[in-house]
Amino acid sequence: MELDQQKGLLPACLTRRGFLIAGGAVVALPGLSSAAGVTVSAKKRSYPRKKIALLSDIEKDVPVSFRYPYDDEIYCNSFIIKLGSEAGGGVGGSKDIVAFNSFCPHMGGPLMGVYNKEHKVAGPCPLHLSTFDLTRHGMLISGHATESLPQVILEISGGSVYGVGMMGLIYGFNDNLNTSGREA
Amino acid sequence: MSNNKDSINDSVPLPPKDAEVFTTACDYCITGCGYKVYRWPVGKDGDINKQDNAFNTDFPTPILSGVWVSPNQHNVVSVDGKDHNVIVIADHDAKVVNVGGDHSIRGGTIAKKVYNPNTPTKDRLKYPMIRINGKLERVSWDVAIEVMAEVSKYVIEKRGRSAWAMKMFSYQYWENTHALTKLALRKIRTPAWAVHDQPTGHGPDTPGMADAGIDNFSASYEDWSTAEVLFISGTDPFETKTIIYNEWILKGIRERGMKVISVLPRKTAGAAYAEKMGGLYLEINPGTDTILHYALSRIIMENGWQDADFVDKWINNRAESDKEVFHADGFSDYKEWIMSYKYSDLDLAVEMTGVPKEKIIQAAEWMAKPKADGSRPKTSIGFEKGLYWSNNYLNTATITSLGLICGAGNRPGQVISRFGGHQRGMMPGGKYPEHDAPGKFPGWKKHGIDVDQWVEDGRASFAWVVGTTWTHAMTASSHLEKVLRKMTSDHTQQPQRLDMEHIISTFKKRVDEDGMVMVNQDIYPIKPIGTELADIVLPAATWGEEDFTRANGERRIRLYQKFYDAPGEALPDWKIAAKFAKKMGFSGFDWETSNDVFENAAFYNKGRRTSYVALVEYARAHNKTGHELLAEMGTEGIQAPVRWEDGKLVGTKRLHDSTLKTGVSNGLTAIDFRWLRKFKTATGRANLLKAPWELFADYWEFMKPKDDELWVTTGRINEFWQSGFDDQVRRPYLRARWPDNWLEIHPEDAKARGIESGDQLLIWHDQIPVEVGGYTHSEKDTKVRGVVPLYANADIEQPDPLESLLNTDANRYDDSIRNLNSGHAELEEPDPLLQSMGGLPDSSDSVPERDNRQAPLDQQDQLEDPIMKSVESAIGMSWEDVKPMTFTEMQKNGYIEMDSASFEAVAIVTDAVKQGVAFTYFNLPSARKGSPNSLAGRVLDPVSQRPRFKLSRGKVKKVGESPFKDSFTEMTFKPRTIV
Repeated sequence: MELDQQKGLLPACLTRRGFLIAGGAVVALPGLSSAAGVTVSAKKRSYPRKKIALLSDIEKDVPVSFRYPYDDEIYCNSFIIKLGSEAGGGVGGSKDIVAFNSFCPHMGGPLMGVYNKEHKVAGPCPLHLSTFDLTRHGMLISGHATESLPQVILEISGGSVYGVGMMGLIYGFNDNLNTSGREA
Repeated sequence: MSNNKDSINDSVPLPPKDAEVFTTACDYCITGCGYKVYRWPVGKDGDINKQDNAFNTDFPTPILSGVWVSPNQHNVVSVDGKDHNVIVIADHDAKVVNVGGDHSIRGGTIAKKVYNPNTPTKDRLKYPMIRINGKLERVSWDVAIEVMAEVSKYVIEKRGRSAWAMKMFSYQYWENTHALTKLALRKIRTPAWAVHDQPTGHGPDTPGMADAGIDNFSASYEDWSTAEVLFISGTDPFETKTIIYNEWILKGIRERGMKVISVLPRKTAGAAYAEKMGGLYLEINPGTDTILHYALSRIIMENGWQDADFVDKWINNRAESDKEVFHADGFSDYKEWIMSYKYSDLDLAVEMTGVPKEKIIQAAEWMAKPKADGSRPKTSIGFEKGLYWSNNYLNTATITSLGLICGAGNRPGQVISRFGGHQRGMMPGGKYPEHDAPGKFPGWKKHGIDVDQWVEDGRASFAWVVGTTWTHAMTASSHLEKVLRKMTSDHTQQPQRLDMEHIISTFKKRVDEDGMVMVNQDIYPIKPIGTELADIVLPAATWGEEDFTRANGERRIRLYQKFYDAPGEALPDWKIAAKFAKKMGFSGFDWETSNDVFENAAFYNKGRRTSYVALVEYARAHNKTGHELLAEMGTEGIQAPVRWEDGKLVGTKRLHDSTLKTGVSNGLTAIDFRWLRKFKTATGRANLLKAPWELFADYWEFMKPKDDELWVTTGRINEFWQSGFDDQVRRPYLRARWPDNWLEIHPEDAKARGIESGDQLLIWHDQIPVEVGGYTHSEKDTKVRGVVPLYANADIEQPDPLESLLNTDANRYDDSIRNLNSGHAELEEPDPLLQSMGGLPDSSDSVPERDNRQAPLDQQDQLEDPIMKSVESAIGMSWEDVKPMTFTEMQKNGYIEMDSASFEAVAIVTDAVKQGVAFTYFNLPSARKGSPNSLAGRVLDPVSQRPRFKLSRGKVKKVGESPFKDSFTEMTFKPRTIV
């Protein structure tokens, strides 16, 4: 059952985001969809399905730390947060629970402890002040990161929240799923 | 070519150990960060262990490693027809500029700039094309060039050189600008020539600095971090020259407690952070900087806080030339003027600028009040376009005087300088033929042709547009676009078939029938110039596709290496210029490589701020080419002027540097300009300037929002470069962030109009003042505008009706007069401009003092104006001379028409902008409706003939909701000031 969900969900999430983000370019530049078009089938590996937290433990505006996809890798530090209003990629009854990696995809500044409750923003990064909109897939608000804050794709099952994939490359990695020498 | 694997966005290939490495610098902003390109054949990737990759680093890499590669830093390019991976990242070994590999989002995604047919770069121009029956058809280079040459010869013969016009970028690499200006200015010798950001090609951009004697790129980046107080005006470097902020200003704030005073009508992240860290944010009303500077200067002098030692030693103690400018007769004269001047009153400043009184006083104290131990604060001043493109002469003159009395201008951490916009890519190949320009100020001083008006008045028959949007750029007016359309694509004479003789004869007929033939040379189809209007479209090669050179904002010269092949038949601009020049029969274009152009240009420009002749001489003495030597210097390059001393090449950290030590000169050409150590004036001392508000007051009052209007000022955003042609249009990541133009509006102003973030807005105005006419050679043109018939085109002009009106000096068109323009402006070499063009390189080191004052034409009139009676302008004119060119008089004489324009934008409601002010991006051709720049008045500064792009106002209303209002994937409305 869970495996089936993983197969079904992960490509759906990635494709949806890829499609939506590519959509902006497609509108202005007809015929360029191949640029950002996402074909998940090209991917040979898959993300682990990992239990992150109990739904009942997640409080509004209180980030909870976890690691994904690897437990032994500091750059896999991530946080899950209930924003209180619907967000891109949000799960739960209010579609407001989201999770992101905790390192700035500019130069790796740690974003732990810089959650802005009022605006639902991660940042400013202590290094160079980048900020990210957690309601819009970690989109850069201001600053220098060359991709959005990588988002952990979530799924809810039986009162627990699971991480099932990533959107975006985690700082420090050249490949989120480079498994050489590691166990997920 | 293979697909981009990184479209999956969670992995990038790593360069193998044997990847080739190229050095370059970012193509974009003034900062000029150093970058490295790693290139290797597709399929031969490296791996995550350090012995397996070119970074010699284990992955995952640590924080600040400088070698983490995001998916937007990888691409696939073609080299000799074979696919290669490239990684383009900031140089992690950099010790200068972007230390340790820091980078902006613009440069950080520059790998996506390179041509890859599987990405949104697929529409790069690849072949020359000619418009046949309204449709662009591919032709050979030979045909395109021959048609251009035939039409050009015909135009020059029939209508004179000045009917042949060029509008070009001023910055896209020395080799290209040298070749293009050599062609236009030295060979064709046309005065109908202007650079991308201004209508006229002659004179300094920051004339107040020039008059004071300060080079506008005198500082070194280090100075932005070693000041104790940094007064920043008209820019937030965080947004527009990111790494100058990240690596230098931020360092000053965090490590040295530097206090930053930000003067802006809009608060962005850099200003907000500086304020949070103990700085000041002065929320100024657009266009009132001069008033603020008067008030600050007055507070400082009232309290005796001026740097007396500096003033004694470095300020001219009497007017350098008592005929010149607004030169004060020494400090005491300046002080007396400010103290008694009604516009320096603090309460008035509070009212006009909108900055609270206590903040103004605080700023003055920080900048100049001696500390308890008697030592002085080290104060620096940096500014950019918000300042000098809103009120050009007065703002640059008054901010410079303010800096000088604080003791800034010639020492480490105590500088007065522009921050800069684009990099310094002008390396002239000829000097502006001002004697052939019809425009002149009353008296004797010539000014350059306003190419926009020139075209609008039907004076151009051929226009070659290189690398600029023109219709949308800073001088944009809907008027210009209408005229261009009428003269090209809507003209009755259109080629009907791909036959060269037919095309040439059709274009000649068009010239005979008051039309114009237009060429657009660029890297992409530019709307509407290239896509709809141009008759001939030429494909240019760009960054990464040729070896180029250029300097950044601290005069640092680097080689931008070629690392892949340009698409199709695209050629670098220098090669295109050379092809055309040879077809025209001009000599001096037999270059084989871009290095040949580089070395040629060195000798022609040895007296410039960016002088590098010593580098070329040194290279030759060591059996290398100039480019080879620069390649060895990598991303560090060398700061100009480059000197060869004590057997070594030496860079120059800052100009006018009283602490500079030089060695014994080697080589044939000694580079030892006096302005390396002293100011750029005849005496080597700087001038204080009494620049009066009255020159601008009428225009400011006219433009000031009335009733329910708002200021609609324009500027930039960290995420884009220029018109967004690379990033906003062609990088999905950035397009998702900013899918359309936007308008920041204050919550109170939004509420009054029922506007919420995400709403679609219409912004419009129907009283936009635009200067028109002036080149029709009526008697009025002569008297009011000072436009005289062209000598270059004497055959088609009426006999000079003016001869009798001109005094004897007016006919003294000898080169030496140029030395007096705007306070010896040719020595200032303020880039885009070519007043230095060729200049007289040998004279750079000494400026003869001259008497250039004209007797007032009408003493009586002057005496009737108590404020202006003793004023003389920067260019040797009396108030009587200047008065006809003020807005009021121009209007009275029928030279101002009212244009109307509108644009749409997505609302961002934020208190980052002050109430009464709205902010929008300055030039976004991809935006769905309208051009914000067209709301700006096109009325030039009467003293400098420079525009005031930043001043516009408009009415704002909601017309619907944008699709982004509730989107999760496009645009965000969160504040950008969370610090």
